[in-house]
Amino acid sequence: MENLSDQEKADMLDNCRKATLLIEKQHTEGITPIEKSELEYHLDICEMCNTFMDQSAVINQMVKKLSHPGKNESKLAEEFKEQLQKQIDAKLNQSSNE
Amino acid sequence: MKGWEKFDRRSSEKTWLTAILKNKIFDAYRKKSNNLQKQTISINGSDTDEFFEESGHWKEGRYPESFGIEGVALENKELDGILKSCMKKLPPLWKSVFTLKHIDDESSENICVQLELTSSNFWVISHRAKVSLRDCLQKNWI
Repeated sequence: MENLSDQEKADMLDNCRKATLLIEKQHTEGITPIEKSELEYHLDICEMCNTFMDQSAVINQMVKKLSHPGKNESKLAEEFKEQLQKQIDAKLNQSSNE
Repeated sequence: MKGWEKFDRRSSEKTWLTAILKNKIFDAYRKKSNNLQKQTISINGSDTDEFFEESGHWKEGRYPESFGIEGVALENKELDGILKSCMKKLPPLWKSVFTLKHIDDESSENICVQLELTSSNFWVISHRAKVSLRDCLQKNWI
């Protein structure tokens, strides 16, 4: 863990806005070692941002789950599928004959 | 099928079709988000910040509280329903960014290019979308 200067610590003391932004960044891109230290320093003293972090992870998982619904959803009309399949078959035959 | 003749077969058919679909999806998101870019500029100012004090601390009345079911939230249909309606309430551009990032697993660079966002604006929006969603869940759950 990087050592933070007194100024950097003071800047993070009450900065829930920055802490929650870093939480969001950490999930997607990763954050720099300094940012990691800033976040850890803040999370050590802020109960609310710990709650936020847990819930943010839960939301990410829930959204993932919602986006993979069960079967029986969005089916193409049979007629359209048959027609498309014929078109694809025709093109495939054509290209394999080349 | 029209573009098939121009497709030079350097990549597989699957890659070709996936690329077409991806472009279609981005077109749809871009359409939805158009003319709403201006909306994001005001959220940069701390004076209009709905959730945080100027110091950066949570505003009173916006403090995150435990839902009490974090461990089993994934099994909870009711919470799913609340999350869905909360997502619908997001401004269109935020929703596009959030959906592309969390559901379509697009890279942030790609989202920035496609939706014509700067990297810092992208992060402001991602952050705001998450803070708003969480707040909405708390309000409707507890």
